[in-house]
Amino acid sequence: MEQDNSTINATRAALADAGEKALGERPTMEHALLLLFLVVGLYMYLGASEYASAAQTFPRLMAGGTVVLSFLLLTRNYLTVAAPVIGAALGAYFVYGGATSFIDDGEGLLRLAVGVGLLIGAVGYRERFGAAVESFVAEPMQVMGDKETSGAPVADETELEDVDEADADAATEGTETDADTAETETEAEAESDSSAMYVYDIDDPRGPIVTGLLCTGYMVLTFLIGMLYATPIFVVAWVLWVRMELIKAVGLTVLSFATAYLFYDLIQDDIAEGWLTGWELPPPDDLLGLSIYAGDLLQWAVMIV
Amino acid sequence: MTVESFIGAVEALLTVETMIWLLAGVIIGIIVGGLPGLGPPLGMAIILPLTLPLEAASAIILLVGVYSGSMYGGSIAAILINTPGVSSSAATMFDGYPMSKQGRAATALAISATASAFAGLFTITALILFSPGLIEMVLRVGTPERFLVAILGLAMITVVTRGSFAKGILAGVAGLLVTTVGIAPMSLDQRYSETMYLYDGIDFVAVLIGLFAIAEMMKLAGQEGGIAKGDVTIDRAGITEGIVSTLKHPITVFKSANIGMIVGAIPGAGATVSNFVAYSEAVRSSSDPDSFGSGNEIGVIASEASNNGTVAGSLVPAISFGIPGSSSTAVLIGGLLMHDLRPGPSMFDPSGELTLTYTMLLALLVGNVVILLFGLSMVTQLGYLTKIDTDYIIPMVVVLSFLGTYALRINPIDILTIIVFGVIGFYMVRYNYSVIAFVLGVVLGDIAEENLYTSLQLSDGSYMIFVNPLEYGRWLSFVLSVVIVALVFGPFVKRWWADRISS
Repeated sequence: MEQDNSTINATRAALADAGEKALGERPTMEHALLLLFLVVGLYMYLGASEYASAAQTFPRLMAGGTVVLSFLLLTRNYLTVAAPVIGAALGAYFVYGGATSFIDDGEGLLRLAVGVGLLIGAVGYRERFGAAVESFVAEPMQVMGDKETSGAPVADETELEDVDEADADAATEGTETDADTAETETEAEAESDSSAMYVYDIDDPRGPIVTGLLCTGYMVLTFLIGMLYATPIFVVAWVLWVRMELIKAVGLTVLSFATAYLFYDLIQDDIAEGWLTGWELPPPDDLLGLSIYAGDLLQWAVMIV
Repeated sequence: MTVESFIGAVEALLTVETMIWLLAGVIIGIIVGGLPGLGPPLGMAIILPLTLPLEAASAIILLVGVYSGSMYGGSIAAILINTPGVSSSAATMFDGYPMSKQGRAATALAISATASAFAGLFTITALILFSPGLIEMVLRVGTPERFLVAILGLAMITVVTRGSFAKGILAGVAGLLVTTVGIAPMSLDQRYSETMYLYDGIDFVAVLIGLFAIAEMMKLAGQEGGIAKGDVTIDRAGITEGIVSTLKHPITVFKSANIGMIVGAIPGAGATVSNFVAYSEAVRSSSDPDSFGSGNEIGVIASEASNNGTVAGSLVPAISFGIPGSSSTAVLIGGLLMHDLRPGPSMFDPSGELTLTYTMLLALLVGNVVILLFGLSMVTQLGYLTKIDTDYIIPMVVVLSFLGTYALRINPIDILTIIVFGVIGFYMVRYNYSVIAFVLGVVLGDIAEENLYTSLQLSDGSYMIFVNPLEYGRWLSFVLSVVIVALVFGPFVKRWWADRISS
């Protein structure tokens, strides 16, 4: 098990090193987010060409913007080089599109002008163009040259106080395992080495991950057995994770089931059906009807025992 | 006609049903605002799907009630445990919490309720009085201008929001991109509908719930603190003192409410900004600025008056052009759209929805009276809200989010949507990407595309309609285009100019 952990850590470190070489900073979840925007933007830009011209203008504009901006943010450490190249490519694209349109129907003058402007800026004034794009992409503190704080969180005083208190609590309680600490440190280290700015601190990085996973489990269960019964199961999983006292846990589970039942009864009874399976477990009122067999069941149980 | 609409609104408001929804909204709002970590947009987002069976007027009244109530509710945690229930009450902590430590929690809470209510009453009344002028202005704006106003809103949000400009624009553009899935508004093409569950597009209610509820719960699950550790003494005797103190400072209430209203009308600025601006102004204009931060009542008055004043201000761009001044108004616009109400001219058209608009404003007016009465009578009980552990809040918010979203359309994509956008929202907030800009994009997408399409039809496909007033005669479009360019490039030109002068 220990060997497995060390292999995982070594692989993670190797990936982080490779990412750092490519991005010029330690990779964080922000890069994953930007990559997601980039890929989705590209897919939607290319996909838009299948639709009628009226239906493709808007998605193309937005997808194009998403692609360019996420690419600029991903390459923020190489902008003096990357920005003029992107600017020139965009300029050429606009000039081509504008000129073609102008020749065909006398339109496209604005695109042509923007394209020419971009080309002149990106080629003729490479350095200034790169610097301008850099300040457009950078956080205000980085623009102001406050390098000491550029990687620091933009938390307000209260948040910082809360974090300090939480840190103090954690220090006294000493509940963190080594692995968790290492994980937190890696994340903190990555963020401090990144040009990214993060708004608030997370005291326990497992909290959001577990919440996300439990939500995903809730979704899968909903698709399998319907939301009516998936709801209390999700809450049971949650109370087990937070190690809630038994009475409070039972109370919370009952409350969640009652809420789901109210939705089922008053708003939408289809929530009881599993979308993937088509299963619909008997609702509580039907189950209550089965109570007439309770005596027989008890007898069977006694006989078996 | 306008007067008739106003009378119709008064009649609609004075029904038992409307009053019940308003009361429910304000009380839910106060509770949601008082729970540390929750806030108006989250409370409204969870309520949003539940309003589907209601009539449009009742639904909107419920939502504005939650909005208004949670603005006051946010001060409870700020005063009692030094953690703002909502970010718009952050400045309340500076003096509210020291007052609480001095055993004057009831006075601070009473000041908060009174200042919030008076500021709300004043700003909503002002909005109603100025509405005829606003109506004239909105009805004059044409299609190309409406598209540009949407872009202007986006540009303003990215300028006002602290952080990288590129990040702000990316958030807005990505939000607009989300709305391109499904049927194209004008040509009826099916776009990116790889599965039949996407034929109606990505539901914006699911996106809002993901961004505000799931993302916020993920954040809360990773944070410690925020719950009252010990008993806070709330002595009922301090209530009168709080009311008298607020009444003794009408200028502070008036000034802060105005600051709230003006800042609130700027897209993206919202109550968090107005809160600090009003507090700073109170410190600046005080004869004893050193006393602030150690329990000065004026600090609490300024902060609370400004954040409730913001409600009226943020409604102006929201109902006039569909541009949310804050996250909460973004959800409110979502509520309007969900009930087939389009923000824009129709909301001010006497033959359209003007009666509903007035009903909403009047409901807010009455809502502030409810805040005053409820806030003052429940002062001693409000402390309980701060003792509810997030371990109970998180699963219930998740459950309500899932149930509310799924029950809307029984579309499995909606459940996937809230999880995906919950995760995206969590990391967007963490890495300083403007969620408000993203939401603005999601809410405005269809309206912006329709207006762009119609504008291009007017100009035979030429974008010059936005910038060439000589050919198309649209001077307002030209002015708006210039303002957008100035907003986007202004800071860079200013910096370049400053560098040039210094070198």
